[in-house]
Amino acid sequence: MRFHFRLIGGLLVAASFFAASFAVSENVTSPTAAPPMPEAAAPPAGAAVSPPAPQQAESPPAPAAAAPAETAAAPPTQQPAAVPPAEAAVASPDPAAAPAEAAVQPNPADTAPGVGAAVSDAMLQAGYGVFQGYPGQQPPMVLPRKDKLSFYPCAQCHANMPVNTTPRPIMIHATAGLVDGKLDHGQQRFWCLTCHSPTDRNNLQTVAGVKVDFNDAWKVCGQCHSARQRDWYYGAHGKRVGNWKGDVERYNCTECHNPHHPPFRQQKPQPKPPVRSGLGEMPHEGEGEGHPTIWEKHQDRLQPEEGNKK
Amino acid sequence: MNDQHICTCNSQSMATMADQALDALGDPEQAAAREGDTSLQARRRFLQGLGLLGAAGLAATSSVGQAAMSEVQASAQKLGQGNGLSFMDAMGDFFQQHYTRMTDEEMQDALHRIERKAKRKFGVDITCEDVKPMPGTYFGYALNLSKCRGYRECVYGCIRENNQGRDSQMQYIRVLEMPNGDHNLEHSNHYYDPATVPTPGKWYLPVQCQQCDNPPCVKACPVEATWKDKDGIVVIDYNWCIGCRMCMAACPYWARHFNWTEPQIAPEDINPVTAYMGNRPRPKGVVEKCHWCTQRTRKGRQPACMEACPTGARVFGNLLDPNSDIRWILEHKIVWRLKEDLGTEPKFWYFTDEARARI
Repeated sequence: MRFHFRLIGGLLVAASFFAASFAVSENVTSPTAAPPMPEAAAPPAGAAVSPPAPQQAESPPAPAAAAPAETAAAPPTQQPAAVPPAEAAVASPDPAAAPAEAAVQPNPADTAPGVGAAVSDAMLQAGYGVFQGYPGQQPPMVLPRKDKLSFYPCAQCHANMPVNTTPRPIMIHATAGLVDGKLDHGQQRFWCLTCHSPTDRNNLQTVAGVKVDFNDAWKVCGQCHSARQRDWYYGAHGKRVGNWKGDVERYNCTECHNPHHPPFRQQKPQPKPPVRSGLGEMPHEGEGEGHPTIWEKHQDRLQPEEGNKK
Repeated sequence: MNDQHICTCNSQSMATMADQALDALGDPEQAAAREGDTSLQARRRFLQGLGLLGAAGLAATSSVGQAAMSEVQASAQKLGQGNGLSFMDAMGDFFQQHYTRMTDEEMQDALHRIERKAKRKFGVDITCEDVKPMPGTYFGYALNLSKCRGYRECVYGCIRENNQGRDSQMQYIRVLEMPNGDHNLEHSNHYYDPATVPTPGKWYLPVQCQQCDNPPCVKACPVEATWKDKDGIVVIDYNWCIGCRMCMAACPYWARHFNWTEPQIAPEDINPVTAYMGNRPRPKGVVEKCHWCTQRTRKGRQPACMEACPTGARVFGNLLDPNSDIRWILEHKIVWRLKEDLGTEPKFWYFTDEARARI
């Protein structure tokens, strides 16, 4: 039940955030992205849409940040791309929990603090609205990441720098895997401040602006990659370390995937098997250029005359 | 080496064999002492005698063999270990019982023999243990083909862990490279060696022992040197294996391999933590195969291939534990097994990221 309540909460926070940002940026003209929002948020959400948003704007006390929530929101062009994944991540990942059901019949006692009352800053800080895990399954112990980040804490530098929310090539973070200063992830639909908090540099953030610890990076990734996240959570994706028995300890997503360049590396393979002296390699069909596929074998059928003759 | 002596002697005529054997065995202690004096000839004669004894059928009455052994054992203790004193251990190996019939004491002796032999051969102190199956476990393995990049890290993790001969083509895991859209194993290539992998348009299928639940290799073995253990792992008693290779012919996965040559391993590459049913150094002339790292998994650790895999494609676990990773995969992902139509019931499943979960 607690989980359902979180789901709904997350939905509401996400919905309210985007509703607010839509309202602020007037030049949003995407009709495709807007309609799902009110539907996704259950009827009681109407009351809750507004309260968190102002809080969002007020909450960051950061002095240097010349970026209130509306500027922190990505430029208009990014929003249509960002909305569906966020929604999907919050709503769809757990099949067992049946989010639709949960939204239809909210337990008033459970949902009261989330829906009726405004989501407090403290609740957001505690990860309110961020996916925490699936019911009935202990979350895996995730190996910490912070101690492996070469420049962490990021605020060491960024505390003294004004926040520039304009997407632009960032050349200085070349070691982070940026290609020509650009993020090689999401096909240019988002950039640093989508996942990095502009106000609290030592933390990540969800699309809804809720802070997430670097050690919990998987919660940020799962917003879009919810299917992978589910597989990872249950052990079908990602690397388990330590023992097969006992407590489950897994690598974080970012341990293997560079978040700024997620594809797995190309690598020289280990040496091929040796062949005993006097023997040759075991032949296989189509050695050399490889076995032709069936469509390669029958390319000639693309020629109209020959094809007719046959 | 000593086995060779025994074998070559078998061709001699029975009468002279028996005579020679009794002659050589006349005083085992004395023979042992001569051996201690590093008289190679005396040692050979003694061994020959023992071999003849066995061939002549006298040794079959185990009282003679054991009496000789106990005396020789005592002298062996006196003469020290690891100094070329192999005849004693050869005797011990020769009369060693089948794994399931060994008493605890005999097992301990066998383990110590293995340790001494490794010390002699490689100059390395190893520990060998008889790791029993954990109660309440039945192992299964799943491999995510979407994650396999053909790095062959598992192959070499396995070689390092399991003390495989480095030059003998002994690799428990073969990574097959196949063109996309093709699942014909005859089109596969496991000698691929491009500058980098994965090669576009190819996919990779690591194959190792599938630990079949209905293992044809076990049925093929004429001496019951291999069997399915309580935790589902098909194990081999390398001391009992006669090297007939019937199991290799029976295995449809090409998972079993024969030691054509004496396994060569550099002393610094020896993994000193070994198990009787697992990675202890094997002699020439026996069949071996992947055993899911019994020396590790029966103590809760991951198999070496899983630990070595940099992409996390491999998932090992207990099929009897409903909360295990592997059970979730088997119950929620679309999985398949290699050559399932043969009815071997492999406990090795392949799956992909892309297949939708069945929820």
